[in-house]
Amino acid sequence: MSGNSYPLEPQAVEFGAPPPFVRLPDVSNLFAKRSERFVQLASTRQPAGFFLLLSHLAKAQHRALEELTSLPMPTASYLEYCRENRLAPFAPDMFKPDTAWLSVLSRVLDELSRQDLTADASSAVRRARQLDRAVLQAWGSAIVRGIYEPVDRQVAPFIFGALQVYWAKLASQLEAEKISRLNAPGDCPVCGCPPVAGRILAEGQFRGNRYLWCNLCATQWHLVRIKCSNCESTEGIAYYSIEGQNQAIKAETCEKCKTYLKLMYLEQDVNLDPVADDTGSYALDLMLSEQGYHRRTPVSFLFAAPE
Amino acid sequence: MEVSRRQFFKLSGAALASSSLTALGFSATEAKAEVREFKLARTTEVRNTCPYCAVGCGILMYSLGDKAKNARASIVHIEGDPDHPVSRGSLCPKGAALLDFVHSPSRVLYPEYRAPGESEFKRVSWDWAIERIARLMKEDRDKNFVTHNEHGQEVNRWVTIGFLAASASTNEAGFLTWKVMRSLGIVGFDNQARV
Repeated sequence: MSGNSYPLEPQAVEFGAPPPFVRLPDVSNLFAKRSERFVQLASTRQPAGFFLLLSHLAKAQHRALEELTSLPMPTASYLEYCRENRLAPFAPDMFKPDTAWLSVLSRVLDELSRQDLTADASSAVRRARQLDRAVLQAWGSAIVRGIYEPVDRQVAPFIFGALQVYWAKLASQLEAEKISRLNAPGDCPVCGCPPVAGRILAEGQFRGNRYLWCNLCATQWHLVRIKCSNCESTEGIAYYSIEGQNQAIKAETCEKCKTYLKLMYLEQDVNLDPVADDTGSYALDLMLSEQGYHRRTPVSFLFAAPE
Repeated sequence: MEVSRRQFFKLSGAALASSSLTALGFSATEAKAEVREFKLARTTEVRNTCPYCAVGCGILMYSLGDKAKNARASIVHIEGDPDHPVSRGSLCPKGAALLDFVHSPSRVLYPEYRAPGESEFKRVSWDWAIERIARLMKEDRDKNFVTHNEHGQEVNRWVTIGFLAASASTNEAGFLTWKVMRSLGIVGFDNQARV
């Protein structure tokens, strides 16, 4: 054996860095990948037209995000204040979005109106384009606060789509190491919103780690496995999937607070997108609702009334 | 000030009928019909500690089976616990093969006894086994207990016996092991640290 060659190289057994607490959104391809995923889902899920519409929406989100220039950021002292006090800097209660999101919405609707949509979808896009700015602002403000009732169900997906673009862009302009954990580990440390799903990573040294995915800003944050993301219980946790169907998506249910969060096991399907596959697996939500379980966000783009 | 109101959502069939999907002119009838043919499968994921060595790597055990439906839950997969502060998801080849250990046909499930000179083990009760262990320990201790060493110093030790405990024990189990074994004068005991 030569002097510096070992049968087992040190890097093969040493630990890398611990998993980072926060993974900020990669805005370069976030929505483009989601659009592709919606196209894939349209071939196996019903109604296919709805998934194709959402693929067009995600493509439009991608275009709008590409054209979005840097957004003005809060001051460094505000961000430091948030970090020290465990506050989410872009929580809708503390941070007021500027009107750039309305331009994103116009851009999204422009893109959609150029697509070959169903008659109903086209008329919904037309209606959204005619809506008063004040109405849009009121609805946008309600949606980011988790209040969905006042919002017209026909245009809610477009409004929410524009808000996702705006908030993902904001989040991407932050520095991950300056974001602190919140006292509520199940809330997004960037915008305070609940997660849409959790992802169990498959890649290298982070294999098996669970990251929650923010419904609004697409930030990912680490939460230990086998723990309710709503009430933090570690007792009474079970995992439900549809028998004989896709086992890559399971709902983590909590007996204590009767809520659930979908988990996506990327090792079993690397193409899973937390938002697209949330919509794609709404059959699981229908079944869990019969068992009395609730979730913290509406199923993506369905905006069914809360119960 | 407008304040967030976080609430809970439930996608019932009625809720689906009032959703954006329906509002945008699509029908979920087919999906709803499909759901009626499906059943939910329940699995659990449970944290534990690898039983082999003193590193005490964290493991996740996946079980299949609905306890509520009287079916016997069965462990279907074991992997390293990525959240464990020491092992961070890694396992050695022995730990990675734990599933076979759990389901091994030769796994000991109850006390068995092979008498001196016999070739076969026979099943015995826990009471019988504990009684016999206690009896043999007492006999050996009575015969070999050392109260004083060659310098006349009081030592109260019993060196003709050893005790091996499991590596995955808690601090509390370690405390009890120490108290019980030391009180008998046993010096040679180990927590299976380097198997």
